[in-house]
Amino acid sequence: MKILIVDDTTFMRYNLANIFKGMGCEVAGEAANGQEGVELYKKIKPDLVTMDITMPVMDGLQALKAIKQHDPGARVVMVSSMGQREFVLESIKSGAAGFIVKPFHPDKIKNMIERLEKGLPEISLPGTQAN
Amino acid sequence: MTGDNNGKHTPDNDSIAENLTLINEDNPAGVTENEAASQEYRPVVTPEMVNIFINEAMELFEEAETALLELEKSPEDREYIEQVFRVFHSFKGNAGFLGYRDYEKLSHKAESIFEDIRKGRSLVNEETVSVLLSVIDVMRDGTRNLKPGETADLPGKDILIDLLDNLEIFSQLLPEMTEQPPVDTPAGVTVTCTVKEEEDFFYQNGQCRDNHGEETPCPPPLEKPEGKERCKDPEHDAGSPENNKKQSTIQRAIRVDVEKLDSLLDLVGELVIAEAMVSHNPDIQGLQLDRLDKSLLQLTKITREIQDMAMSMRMIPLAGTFQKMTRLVRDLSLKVNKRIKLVISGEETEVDKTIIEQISDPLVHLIRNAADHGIEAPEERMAAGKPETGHITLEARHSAGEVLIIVKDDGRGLNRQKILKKAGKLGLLQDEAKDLKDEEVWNLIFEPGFSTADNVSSISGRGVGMDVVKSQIGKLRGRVDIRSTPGQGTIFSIRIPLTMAIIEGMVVRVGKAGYTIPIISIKESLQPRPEQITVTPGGLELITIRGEILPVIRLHELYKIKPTYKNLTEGIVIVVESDAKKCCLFVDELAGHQQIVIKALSGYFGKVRGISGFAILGEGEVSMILDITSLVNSAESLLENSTAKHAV
Repeated sequence: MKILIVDDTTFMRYNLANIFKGMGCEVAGEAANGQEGVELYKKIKPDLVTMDITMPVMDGLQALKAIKQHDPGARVVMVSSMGQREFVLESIKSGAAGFIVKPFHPDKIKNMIERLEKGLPEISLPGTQAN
Repeated sequence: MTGDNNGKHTPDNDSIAENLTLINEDNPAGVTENEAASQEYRPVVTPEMVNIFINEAMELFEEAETALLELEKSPEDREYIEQVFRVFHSFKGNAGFLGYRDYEKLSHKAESIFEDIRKGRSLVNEETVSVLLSVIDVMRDGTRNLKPGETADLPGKDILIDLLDNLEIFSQLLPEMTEQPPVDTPAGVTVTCTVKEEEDFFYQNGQCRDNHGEETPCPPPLEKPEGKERCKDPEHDAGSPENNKKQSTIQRAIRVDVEKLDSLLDLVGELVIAEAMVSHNPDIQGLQLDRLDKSLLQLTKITREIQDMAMSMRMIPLAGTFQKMTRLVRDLSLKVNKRIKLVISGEETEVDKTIIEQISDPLVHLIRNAADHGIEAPEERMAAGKPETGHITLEARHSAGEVLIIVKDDGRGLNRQKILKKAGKLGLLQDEAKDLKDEEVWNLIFEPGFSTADNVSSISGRGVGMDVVKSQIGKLRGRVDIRSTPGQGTIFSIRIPLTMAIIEGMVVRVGKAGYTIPIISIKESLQPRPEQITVTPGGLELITIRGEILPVIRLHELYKIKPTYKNLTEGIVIVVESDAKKCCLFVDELAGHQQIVIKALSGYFGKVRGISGFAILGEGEVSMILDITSLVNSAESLLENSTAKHAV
């Protein structure tokens, strides 16, 4: 599975990349803001994007919309500490495949990947998958 | 799904929203029960994770600090508000991941203050900036010392959280008080500065919010016409590229280990030498080899380009260093109760990273001195007919292979009498003090142990004197000049050669040996006429050049070599200068100037007198680079000894 990580902190990109690599996924690209994320998406066509929300230049919600517009089949999972309802709703309306609230347990990422691979319903919200 | 769909709801919104039930509205961090469980989880923290965390945190804090200082000047600048918010938000996320609860808590508080500000519920004022700067200071000190596997307690965080709470409470209290006179900050708040214009502060906090904390349309501006600005919809503005132009200059850059850059420069040095060895090879001298010459020319050109490129990769703008001074001056002016403004120009000037690393301390020292001793108290300034606010100017620019950094203040200037008095006490003066030029008097303040302050204050003069400034700049092969006019201020000009590793050198011959003198130290070279030469009874030779009497050092005597010429009038005399002191070096001939790659002396040589390193010349010959400073100093003491003998 080819992954694109979009997050403005090096630290988070490093940690996410480690988790994905540990699962045998290929981290095909990393971007530090929404705009770079959109450009990279077009270039590398990843199977999955993890998207932070609060970022400079272009925030994650705008980037999500831009990616979905370019490729309606894109699978973008929001990974953000902005867990407020308004952000979750906005993400889902804009076509996010999931929403993971930071800080997260690596298992959450694993579960999400497994579900996406099995082709299960793509919306994986924290809270709906409790237990 | 609760199934509580009464048909009115659009299925996309509220059903999902109910499904979520995850976000506790009372919990601004949006931490759910589920999340709370995952907070117990502690990731395996590797040293590398902590390193990345620390490095990034330092960058983030610097970013926030810069933005906060800008906000102090223009409190409504959306861009900086967003930036500060984002920094605390990012840092909170990172700290949370590593389970650093104290940091998470503190940055969360700071973030929510800025959340209010960006939503227009509250405004930036001097107090916000002060408290948040302290928060950054504390977190920065703590972060620096984090170690993997250790807990990350943050001493003093409770005080800061109290301060942040107070900021929040104060801004929430305001709407009810709009009709009342301005109030003081709530009891228990200790902040380093007070609100400057209470009316303004008052207005800023009250207008864009009703009692329920809902945003309301902004009322027509009362006193401040720009009041409307504050009610712009932050969500709408936040992410648009136009609004974030400043941040969008994210460079297309990769991180390279500094060690790799250093060894690249070493290799380029070798390349420069190898290139000179080929093109000056004795085997091809005097031969007519057109095609080879053409290729060699090409080689030389590319070598120079690679050299320039390798150098430029180590060049960093001074902006970061200068920016820190803004904070310094801000804190200083509060501490000494003077109004001081720092004016920065030329911060885009690029210098070698070695310079960046070492220039900060001397600059801090000079600025501290300017703020503490240079700039007068407001009353004194007014009395002297000067503007109340003192100015310290920090300026940088390139000039002829050097970087020139100027620290200028418009304060009272240096006091000649005071300096001379002090110097006399310290025994730094010969008896002819009255004849000293101003320049020489000013230079006395660089003497060890010198400090003109009658009372050593906590700001400058904490045992480290101006002599340290001078020696630190000396280490960079730089020099400091002082100009000062009583009542008008003092100017410190620092000149440092742009590169540290490759210099322009003059190769001189003494017998069979070749020595290298840095071009920057050479004033002139001449063949003296007999009438210019005098010899002291102590045996020291002196040459008079345009009325100036300079001692001569014969390099062949110093290094015990057989020279071609023993007579001063036959060889060449080179006048060298260091720290405004001059002497003459006697050599056989000048062999030409070339780019010199400095090779440091190996440790096992110990300290060799008069030599600062080695250079490999085009022919592969090793040449010693003369340490002009120590030569000039030894000539000076020779001169003193010989005149002393003369006097006896």
